[in-house]
Amino acid sequence: MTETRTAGTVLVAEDDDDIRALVVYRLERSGYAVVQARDGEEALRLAAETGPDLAILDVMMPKLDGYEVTRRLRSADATSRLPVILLTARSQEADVSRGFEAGADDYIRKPFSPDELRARVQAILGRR
Amino acid sequence: MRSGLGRQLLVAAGIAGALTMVVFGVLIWSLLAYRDSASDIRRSDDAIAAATEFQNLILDLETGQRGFVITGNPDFLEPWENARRALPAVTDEFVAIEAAQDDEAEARELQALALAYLRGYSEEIVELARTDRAAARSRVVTGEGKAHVDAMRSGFDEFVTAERAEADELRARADRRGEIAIAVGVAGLVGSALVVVLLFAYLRRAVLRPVQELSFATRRLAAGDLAARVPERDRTDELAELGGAFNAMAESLEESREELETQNEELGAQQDELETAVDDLGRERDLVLALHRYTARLTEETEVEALAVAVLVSLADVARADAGAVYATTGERDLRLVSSHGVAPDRLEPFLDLDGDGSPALPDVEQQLVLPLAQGERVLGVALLGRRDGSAFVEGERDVLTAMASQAAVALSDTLALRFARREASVSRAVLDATPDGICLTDVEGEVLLANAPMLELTEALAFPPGRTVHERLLGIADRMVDPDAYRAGMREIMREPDGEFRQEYTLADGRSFLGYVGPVRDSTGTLGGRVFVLRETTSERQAERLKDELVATVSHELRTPLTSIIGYLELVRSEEAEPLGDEQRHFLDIVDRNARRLLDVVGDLLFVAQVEAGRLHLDLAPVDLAVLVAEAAETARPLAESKGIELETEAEPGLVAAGDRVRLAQLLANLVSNAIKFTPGGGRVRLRATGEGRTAVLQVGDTGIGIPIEEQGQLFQRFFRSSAASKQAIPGTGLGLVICKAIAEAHGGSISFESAPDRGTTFRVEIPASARAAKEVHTV
Repeated sequence: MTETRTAGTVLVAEDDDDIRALVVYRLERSGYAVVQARDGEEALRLAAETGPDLAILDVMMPKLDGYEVTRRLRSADATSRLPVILLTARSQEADVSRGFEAGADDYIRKPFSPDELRARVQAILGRR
Repeated sequence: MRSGLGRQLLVAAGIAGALTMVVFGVLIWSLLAYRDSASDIRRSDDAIAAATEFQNLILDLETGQRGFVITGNPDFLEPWENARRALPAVTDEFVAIEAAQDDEAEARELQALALAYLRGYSEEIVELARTDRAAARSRVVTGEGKAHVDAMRSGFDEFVTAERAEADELRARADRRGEIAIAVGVAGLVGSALVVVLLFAYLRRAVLRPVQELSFATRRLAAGDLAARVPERDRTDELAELGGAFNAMAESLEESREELETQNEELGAQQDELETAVDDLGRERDLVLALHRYTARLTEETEVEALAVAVLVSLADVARADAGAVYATTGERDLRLVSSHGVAPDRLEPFLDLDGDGSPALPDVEQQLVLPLAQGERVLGVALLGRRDGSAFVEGERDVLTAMASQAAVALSDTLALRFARREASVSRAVLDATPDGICLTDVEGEVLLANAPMLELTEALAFPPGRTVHERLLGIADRMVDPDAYRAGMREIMREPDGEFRQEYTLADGRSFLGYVGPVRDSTGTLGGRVFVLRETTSERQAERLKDELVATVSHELRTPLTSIIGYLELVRSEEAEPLGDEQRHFLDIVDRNARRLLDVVGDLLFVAQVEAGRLHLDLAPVDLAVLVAEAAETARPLAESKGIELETEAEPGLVAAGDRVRLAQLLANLVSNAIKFTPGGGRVRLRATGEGRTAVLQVGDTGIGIPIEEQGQLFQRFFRSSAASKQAIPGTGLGLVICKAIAEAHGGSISFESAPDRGTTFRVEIPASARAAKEVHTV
C-alpha cells in the first residue's frame, strides 16, 4: 500500500462506522487511498483539503446529507468535476432522481455487495 | 181630405175684418162730410160777418163825411179816416172769402160799389168840405151819396140773405149726414158684435171643444186611465188629426200596458222562483261556509290529537250528536282512540282492529253513525257519532257528514304525512349533523340552502368571509391556501360547471388539509336542483401519513444499515481473500446469509406495500414490449427452475405492447414466476404467456403445482397470508408477493385473478390495458 501503487484517492463519507470500515477495507484492498469522513461537513472539508479522485457519500448523514454535500461540491470550483457515488438506503425513484439532480454520477443501494461497490468505483476511475 | 182649420180661421177673420172696415169707412166718410158741411157753414158765417164789417165801414164813411160836412168839426173825420184806410183790406178779405166759394161776382160788385163811393164821392165831398163846406152841403143834399149807399145796402141785404139761406141749407145737409153716420156706426157696431159672437161660436165649436176634450182625455191618460179617448168627429182638421193621433197613442199605450202587465205577471212568477232559489242558495252558502270554516279549522291543526278534537267537535255539532269518538291510525293495522265527545274515554275501546269483525259501538246511544275517515282504500281512522234521543240520521245529514268526514280524512292524511315528514326531517337532520363531514346544499347559483353542524363548525374554524354564495365564501380564503392560484383556478372551474362532480384535496398554508367534494343534486325528474358541497378535514390523516412516511424512512434506514453490514461482512468472510473456512462454518454462514437476505426481502416488500398503501406508487409509464418482458422474466428464473427440474415455457405474441412501468411489470412477473416454481414439484412445468385480447394485454403464469386449497383462495391477496402448503413445506416467502402483484396490476389500471385446482396447478392471469391509455395515477396534492 505505497503511494506509487495507489490507483486513486477516494473520499468515503458514512456515519455508520461498520459500513464505513467495510467500504474502506474493500477499497484499500483494491489499491485505493481512502479519506474518511463521519458527516457531511467533514466530507466537504476533506474534499477541499485532500482533493480526492472520487467521493462515496452516504445520503443520510448528520449535519449535511449526501445530496447537499454533492450540491456544494458541484458549486465549488475545485470539486465541481469530482465524481460522486451516493449510498442510499432508499430505493424510490424519487430519491434516485433527487441524487442525480444534485449532481451525483452514480448510486448504490444499501445493502450492497462490497465487490459491486469496487466494480462501480473502478468503472468511474477507470474512465479517466 | 182635411179642410185646414187655419184656412177656416182665416176666412172667418177675413169676414169680420171686411165688415169692420166697411163700417168704419162709412163712418169716416160721414164724419168727413159733416166736417165739410160745418166748414161751409163757418165760411158762410164769416162771409156774413165780413159783409157786416164792410157795411159798417161804409156807414162810418157816410156818418163821418156827413158830420164833417154839416158841422165842419174835424172830429168827425177820425172814424171816416179809419174806415177809408181799412176799407180796401176789408173788401179784399170779403172778396177772398167769396172767391173760395167761387161766388165772388157779387162780392166784387159790392167792392166796386164801395170803392166807387169812397173815391168818387166820399173823398171828394170831404175835400170839398174842407175848402167849401157849403158846396159840399149842397152836394150832399143832392142825395147822390145816399143813392150810393142805398145801392150798396140793398146789395148787402141780398147778399146776406143769400148767404143765410145757403148756411141754413148747409146746416140741414150736415145734420142729415150726421144722422147717416150715427146709423152706419150703430149698424157697424151691431154687425161687428154679431161677427165676434159668430166667430166665438165657431172657435168654440171648432177649436175649444176639441182642445178641451183632448185636454180632458190627456188628464185622464196622465192619471193612468189608458181607456181615455177623444170623441171621433166627422172632421178632418188638425185637431181631429191630433185627436186621432192621441187615440192611436192611447191605444198603443193601452196595448203596451197590457203587454207590460202580462210581462209583470211573468216577472212576478219568475221573481217568486228566484226568491225560492236564493233561499236555497243561502242555505247552501251557509253550509258551504260552515264546511269552509271546518276545513280551515282542520288545516290549522298539525297534531293528530288536536285535529281529532276539531273534527269531532264539528261533526258532533253538525250532527247534533250527544256522543262521539275519533280513532286514528297508528300506522299498523289498528286504530287508536284519540278523541271522545260526550262519553268518558275509559268507556270506549282504546284500540280498534281494522281486521277484526264487529263494528265499534258507542255506549248508551239509540242511533249511531259510523264515518270511515278514508282516502281511497286507505283507512286513516273512524269517526263515531251517536244520538241518545233515538232520532235517526237522515240521508241529507249523512251526505253532509260523509263530506265532512272525507275532509277530515284529507286533513288527517296531511297531518300524518306532516308528522312522518317531521320525523324524517329530524332523523335526516340528526344524521346530517352526526356526520363528521361538513355538508352543505346550495341552489344552482350557489346560495346556501342548508348546512349541517360540522359544516357550520368548519365555516367558523376556517373563518370563511361573509358572502352570498358558497363560491364567494370559498374564494375568500384563497390567500390562505398553499397554492392560491391553483385554488382559485379550481374554484372557478367548479363555478363554471354547476352539474360537474369534483373531488379535490386542499392544503392550507397553516398545514391543515381538507378533502372537498362537489356534486350535482337532481330531483326525481333528473332536473338539476342544486349542488352539494362536502368538506372533510384530512389534516390528521395527512399527519398520520407523514408519520408513516417518516416511519418507513426510518425503518428503511435502520433496518438496511445493519443488514448492509451483515451482508457486506459475510461477503468479505466468504470471499477468497479472507481466511479459509471449514465446511461447517461455510454452511452456517450460508444460512446466515440466506436469512439476512430474506430479512432484506421482507423489509423491501414491506416498504413497497407501505408505499402502495400510502398511494405513493409511482409508475414510469412507457411502451413495454410484453414479449421481451416475458422472455427476460423466464431467463431470470431459469436457473432456479432448472435447479428444481422444472420446465419453463414461454409464449408471447410478437409486438404486443402495453403502456406500463417496465420495472414494476418485471417485478410482478418475477413474483408470479417465483411463486409458481416454489409451489411446483420437480418434473412439473411453468408456463409464461403474453397475449392480446382486444384492447387488453393478458399476462399469464401457469404451473402444474400443488394448487391452492379452495378454503384458502379468498385470502390469497391478504397481507402476510401464507398458504398451509408453504408453511408445511417450509417454502420461503413473506406473504407480500401477491399483494404487491395486485397493487402493480391495479396501478396500471388492470386486474389480477387466478384459477386453481389442488394437485393440478394454478394459473394467474393479469390484465392491463394494451393501448397507450393513461394508467391510473394516484397522487396527492
